[in-house]
Amino acid sequence: MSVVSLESVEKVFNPDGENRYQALADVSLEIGKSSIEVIAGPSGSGKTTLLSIIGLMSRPTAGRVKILDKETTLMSERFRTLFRRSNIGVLFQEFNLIPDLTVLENMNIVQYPTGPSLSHMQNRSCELLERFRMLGKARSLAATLSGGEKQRLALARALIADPDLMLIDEPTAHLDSRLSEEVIAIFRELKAEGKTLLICSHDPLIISSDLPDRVLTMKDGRLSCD
Amino acid sequence: MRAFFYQFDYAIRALLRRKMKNASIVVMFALVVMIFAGIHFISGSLYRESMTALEHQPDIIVQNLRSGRQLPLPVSWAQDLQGIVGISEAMPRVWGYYFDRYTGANYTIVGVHPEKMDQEHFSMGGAVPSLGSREIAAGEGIMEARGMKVGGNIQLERPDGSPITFSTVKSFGSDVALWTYDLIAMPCADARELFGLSGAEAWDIAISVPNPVEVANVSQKVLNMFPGARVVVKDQLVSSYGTMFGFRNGFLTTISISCLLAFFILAYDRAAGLSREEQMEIAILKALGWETRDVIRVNMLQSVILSLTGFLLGFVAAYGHVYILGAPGLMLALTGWSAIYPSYPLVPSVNVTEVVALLFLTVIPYIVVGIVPVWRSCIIDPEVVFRK
Repeated sequence: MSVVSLESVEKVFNPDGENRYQALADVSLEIGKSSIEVIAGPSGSGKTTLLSIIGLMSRPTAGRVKILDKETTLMSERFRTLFRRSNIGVLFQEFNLIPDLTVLENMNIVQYPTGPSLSHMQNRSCELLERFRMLGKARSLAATLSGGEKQRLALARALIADPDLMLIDEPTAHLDSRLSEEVIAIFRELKAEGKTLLICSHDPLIISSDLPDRVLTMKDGRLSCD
Repeated sequence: MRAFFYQFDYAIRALLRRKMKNASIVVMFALVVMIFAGIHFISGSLYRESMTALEHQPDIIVQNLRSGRQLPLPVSWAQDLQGIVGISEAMPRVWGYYFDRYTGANYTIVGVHPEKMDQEHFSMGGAVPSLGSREIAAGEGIMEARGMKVGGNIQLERPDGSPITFSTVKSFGSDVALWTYDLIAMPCADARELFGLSGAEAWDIAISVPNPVEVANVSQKVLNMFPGARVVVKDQLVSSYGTMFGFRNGFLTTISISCLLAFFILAYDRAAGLSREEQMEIAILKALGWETRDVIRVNMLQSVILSLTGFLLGFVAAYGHVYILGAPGLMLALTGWSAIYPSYPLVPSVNVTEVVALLFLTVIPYIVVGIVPVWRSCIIDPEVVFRK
């Protein structure tokens, strides 16, 4: 079973406007289960846009996108959201935490729409916070966390629904080398758990490590295999 | 259901996170509702009091006019009128206004017929006690203005300036304070003496017509009998008061529209767009798996909490301003010429339909206009918002 299957995907911003910009051109990709794939490439090459399309947060202008063998291209917005919620975890480059909420609240809000019992919700959040050594900060505001703590919180939050596919954007961009090694170790653990990781990064520490099963390169919206 | 409670909790916390901004919205909202509701409280109370009082008015009043001015009329007219078929009673009345130079207030003096003492109502919702010579019943406004208590004396002056001393035997406490607050009831003979009227004169004649269908017919017969007289039918009084308060309501509607305009500016500002911070939060929630309807629901809950809080605060403030503080500021606009000292307290009159209408006029639009910018933010790809 392929976890991600892209077929001739294109993404054009402002297709009819003066500022027309083609972010992705003819991107095809197959990613199998329990693998770690890294997409390298300079800033502005289209990596984040690709993650956004695979994460069902954006629609391609052309082409087909299958996630976990489900054709998502023509799915309604609602089903895309429900599908993403259950199957895809996203770790954003800028973490995208809500700074005025506590660490625990940032975890819980992911579960609000599904309405689990309060005890179940708290247990799940605390379990993940403990795993990433953030339980002691549960009552702290997200705004007060260090870069490494924010990274761990964002990672814990992405795992709330125990997704099969993790999309990770520039995970070491805000970390020093020691914390980067720590994060890489976590990725290995996730792979061992059977999760599929698609990481966008131009950090040599990740690209040149033995972490990725494959490194792809993105340039001017086109994907190539090294 | 649990999801709803979590979202409700989230909505409250989100409001508390932006305390200053939301507090200012609540204050603005409350001010608009306070002015709007205050105006309706005052006009509603006055109209209700007027209509209640008019219920006790005679069916027809006959006045004597010359050159368009009202003059005393001969008491003998009452006997002549008693001959018209359909009239059960024609009663001469002695009443008038008295300017009290000690307090600068105008009082209404009404003479009570000795034979009517036990049933006279004077549109005041309460029987007048048997009044002996030089005894009066006075409204609360007069008691306050003169610093009197029941049992005390009050000195009034005849047209020639000579004083008459009256003993106060009752204070009116009535549902229709508009009419009784500045009222003094006294025996007819004393009222005549106070106004300098002879025993053969009265100020007007009150006619009772038991059959309402006959009123128009009877009033025409009265005019035939006394062509120079003015015949005032109760229905005309009702419509005059309706017009008067309708006019004043119209004036106040202008103020109300200004308030509504301010409210719509507030609502427009809200509809115009969300802050960068709010857009980011929506994009994050969407990226985390919230559906558009979840985000809109939270936003609506916030709007409901804000607007209902503002509405309730404004409503309670308006009630206190009008019925406890006496509506300083607004009262003058509504009462105009009738705001002659002594003033009178308003009896609370809250119309549920108007409250609901006000609620729908303010809360619902505020909630609705808030949906548009949130929906617009929801349909933007989170990635686009994150990149901004």
